Amino acid sequence: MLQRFIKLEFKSFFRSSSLATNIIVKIFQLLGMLYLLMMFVFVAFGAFYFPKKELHVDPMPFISRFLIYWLVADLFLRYFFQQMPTQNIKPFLTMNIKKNTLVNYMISKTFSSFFSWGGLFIYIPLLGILLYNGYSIEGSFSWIFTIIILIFCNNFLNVLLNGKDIVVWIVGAVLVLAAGLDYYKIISLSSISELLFMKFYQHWWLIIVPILLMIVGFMITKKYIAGNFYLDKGLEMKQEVGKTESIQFLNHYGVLGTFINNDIRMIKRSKAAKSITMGSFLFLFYGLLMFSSPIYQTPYMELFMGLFVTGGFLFMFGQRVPSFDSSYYPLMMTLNVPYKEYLKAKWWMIVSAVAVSMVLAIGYAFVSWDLYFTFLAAGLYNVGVNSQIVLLSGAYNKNPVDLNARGKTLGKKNNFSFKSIILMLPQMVLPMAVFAGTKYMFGTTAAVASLGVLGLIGFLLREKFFDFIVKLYKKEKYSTIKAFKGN
Amino acid sequence: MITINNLSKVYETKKVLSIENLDFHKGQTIGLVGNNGAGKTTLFSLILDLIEPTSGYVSIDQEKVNQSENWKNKVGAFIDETFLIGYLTPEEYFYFLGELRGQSKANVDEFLKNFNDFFNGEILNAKKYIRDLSKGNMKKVGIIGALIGTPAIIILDEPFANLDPSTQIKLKNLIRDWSQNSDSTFLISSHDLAHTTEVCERIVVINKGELVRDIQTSPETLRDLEQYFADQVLVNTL
Repeated sequence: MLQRFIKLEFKSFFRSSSLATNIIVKIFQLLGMLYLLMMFVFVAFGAFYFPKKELHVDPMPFISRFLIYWLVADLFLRYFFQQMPTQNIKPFLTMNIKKNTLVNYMISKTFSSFFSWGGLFIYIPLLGILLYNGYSIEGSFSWIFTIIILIFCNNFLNVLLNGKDIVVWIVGAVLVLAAGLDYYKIISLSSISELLFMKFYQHWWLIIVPILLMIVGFMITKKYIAGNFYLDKGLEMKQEVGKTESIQFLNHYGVLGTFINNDIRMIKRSKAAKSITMGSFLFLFYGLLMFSSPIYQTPYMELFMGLFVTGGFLFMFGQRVPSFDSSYYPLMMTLNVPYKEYLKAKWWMIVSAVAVSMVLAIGYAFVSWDLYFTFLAAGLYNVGVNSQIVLLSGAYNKNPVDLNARGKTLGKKNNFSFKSIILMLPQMVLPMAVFAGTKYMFGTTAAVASLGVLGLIGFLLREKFFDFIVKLYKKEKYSTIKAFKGN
Repeated sequence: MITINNLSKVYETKKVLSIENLDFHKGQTIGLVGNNGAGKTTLFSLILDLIEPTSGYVSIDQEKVNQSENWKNKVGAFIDETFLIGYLTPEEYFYFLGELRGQSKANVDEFLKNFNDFFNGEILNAKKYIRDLSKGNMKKVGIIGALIGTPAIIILDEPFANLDPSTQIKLKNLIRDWSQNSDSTFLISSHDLAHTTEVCERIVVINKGELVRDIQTSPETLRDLEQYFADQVLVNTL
């Protein structure tokens, strides 16, 4: 039976209409995964030798201190990035397959996610290192497998929590709070963590506890999925109550206002659009990368970060114009849609988001004013130039977007066309070069001004630019309609 | 109004549509019938410039649809669910269409009052997004959406399919009243021979991509059509 399911998965992949893109995406994902797996092995070494050599403490208790945080963080990440396998079960429901088999299949699919087995590349090497360094055999196995089994339990927890966003956000907030309290030595979750996990090393037979937890977790999850295995429960989207609404002041702006209203409704009401928008909010924190390595502290890299800090929404949303409208593209093509107004509406949304980001980025002034001004410069360039280039890039992007997909699409990169890579040059390389060059020769103020000037030029030229994009929409019309049909 | 000239569409080696000449005049209500795969939806897609013809052209009021966009002002169409915006409520969708056809919100509200019976209380103020409506109700939204602004040409692809019996009758009456009281041109495709002959004054039959019958409806038409399709079955089994 499992073999049959696997065969079907293969067919679904290879017969998908966006196969070419999917293959490229898969290759990149595979490469990314291989890179991560190598990194994981290094992490295993680092986790052991760093405390031992640099801090001169016993690595095992040291690592144990962080384990509770690690587990909760794992749950948090999984919740937002791991796909739930609920789709595509519908056709099997009435076939001659035992419900039990289907439920087991669904659960085992969650284990095939990278989140479930990727971590093994940290834990198994770490086990090897422990044994090599003379730690007790039973103790090491017990300790490592406790971690592994608890990660598996996270898998079950993730399934059970599916859809309950609130719970997860609360958990995340509590985690951050606990970390803060820990750092300032008020309440120490890490000592509890250390005590707890060291017990598994000291008394190896305690491993039975996580094993029992996992069995119980499995049974509960199974019962939960089986109980919700109905179309009006777990397998289909919950129907929300529909509200007819609009933002009043936009109604005074004619067609432009209508388009913006529609986009806001789309973001509010479609899972995919919502999660992409939320994800773009996370880009505000991209600047924190600066602390990870000195390479980020050069002017051109700071500008690079700034482009993302202020341009999260710009890139995430802009790339998907008009893909967001793919499910009703034929309607848009047969209605008397003034394309320029359509583009302007998207442009206004993007630019507003950049402006808001520029204000919110004030947090970076705590690091240095210089950094904030760099980010401001990036914002100006984003407003004036990139807001238009990204719309151009989106016109070449012919990947349909399923607005109703449980939108965990942040993990997928869906834009690898040659043209979009070429367009990176004016979007990123140009401002980075101009900024770094001007700053080197004339200082920060001049550098910011130079990007401001470029932004202004872009802003003034926008009508012409939109005309160009409209022509492109018309030229690409048939191939876009065809591409958007496939799923 | 609509002129089809030497139109053909070929996919790889298969010719799915080939019509030399076909004219639809103002005010006519035309039914398009044919078996699955006959080319009805292809024809509509070509008229609406959603696909490119392999040869020939379609023109509306002497302007080729792939060269000018003026026809968009004149045509209201509903082909399939890709003509619906799933995340909007029906009201928002109607107002959106109205906006693009120069109809104020008040106009649209007034217009929609005509369809309270047709909507059966399940569409307006139903507090549902279009994607959560039943298939039949989605259809209703699409059909009425195509009528907003009373366009000169209305194109409906299989409007009777998926509708319950009462709604089918209501739709028939609606189209009949509409075509009698206005000079809108209706182009409707259907699998239902009975409905088509009742509602349309002219019937065009397409088989395997070719025009095989173009007749003015008369009391015998239904029987003629049934005979034609029965013969087709015989021909194919021989």
